[in-house]
Amino acid sequence: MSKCFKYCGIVFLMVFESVFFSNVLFGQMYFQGNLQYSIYNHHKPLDLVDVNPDLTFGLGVMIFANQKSKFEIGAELNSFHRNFYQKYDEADYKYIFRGLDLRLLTNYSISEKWNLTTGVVAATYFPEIRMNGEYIVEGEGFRESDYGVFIGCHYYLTKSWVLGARFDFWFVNMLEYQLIGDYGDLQPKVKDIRANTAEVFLRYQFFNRWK
Amino acid sequence: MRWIFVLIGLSTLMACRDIPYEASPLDPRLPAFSADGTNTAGAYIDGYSWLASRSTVSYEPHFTICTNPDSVGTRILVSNGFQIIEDDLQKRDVGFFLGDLSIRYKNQLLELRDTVINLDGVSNYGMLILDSESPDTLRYGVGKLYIRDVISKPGLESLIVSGTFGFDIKSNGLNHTVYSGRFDYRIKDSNFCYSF
Repeated sequence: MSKCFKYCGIVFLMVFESVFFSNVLFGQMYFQGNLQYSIYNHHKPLDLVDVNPDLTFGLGVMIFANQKSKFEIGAELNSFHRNFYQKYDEADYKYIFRGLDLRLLTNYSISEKWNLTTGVVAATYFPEIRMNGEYIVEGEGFRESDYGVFIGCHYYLTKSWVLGARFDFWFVNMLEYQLIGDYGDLQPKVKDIRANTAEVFLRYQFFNRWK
Repeated sequence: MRWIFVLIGLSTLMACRDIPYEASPLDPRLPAFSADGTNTAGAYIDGYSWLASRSTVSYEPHFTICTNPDSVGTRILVSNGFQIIEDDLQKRDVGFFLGDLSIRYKNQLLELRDTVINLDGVSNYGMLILDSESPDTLRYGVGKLYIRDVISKPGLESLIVSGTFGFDIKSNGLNHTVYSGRFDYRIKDSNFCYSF
């Protein structure tokens, strides 16, 4: 598990506890479903095709000074999923990455219903490769963590339901490999596959006011 | 408590998953280059992927190291590999003849750690055995054989030998290629033979 993910996790728990135990702060929890589409920057010989949307789910908590506060800070824990294919000899090799991501975020209210959001995200995940659905391997050469920043906005449909969109800029190359040359010579190590993720989410807020 | 048993059960099931081979992340048809004793080998033969692994055959792949008692030279053979060419499964063996070396015992392999053997096509050469209706052994391949790692662990009767290779063979006006090869085998005394 990456240090970045651990630190984000600690902050997530601190945010959570501070709302629970504070006599001053106001808090709000939410569940949300995220529909994500990742765009992968990669180079030959990799040929990633058929990138499918990912459906993930999250739990979040926000803190605000009072109900009229324009700023909120929050933390969010989501399931993490990425996938893409490579095709060889008519066989589909599916690369799947499952894990968790943690977000520390701040919201700014620009109107009664519209909010802007930005923050940092860290993810830890386990890669695996499947051939025509059959498990092959847990992804030799793939990293198991990533981190980045995100921006977005959301709109209050009702007091409890929120529709939003975000864009994640991930910083870490997912794969490090060493090509074997034609005559067995090992080429210098190469880092490749960096993701950017666009997502829309539907959020249900509850415990609108804990204190 | 119940959840602990559920977790232990799940972990056991995960551990029991059959992992045919550790695939290369770039091309999962081939094994990743490793030095763990996975008993796999792979390469591109004439542009098609070739894999020697438990998953491709019903019997174990072999890595044999053979010498003749009355002459210098060692033949290394990686057998029971397969290619799929236009939906047809075809058996292929890849080998090397090292004319200047006599490797009769596994401890001699330790001296070959981190060496490059130049396959000059004369005293050292690559071999390709095409096993179709009648086996055809192509010899005198020119290229390189890298013995990357030879690992000996206390208490283990086997050595782990891993490396990479590639060579060209000209035969009957055709140029056969064996490119981007990699192997990773556990070698025991039973991998040695004394005639070829």
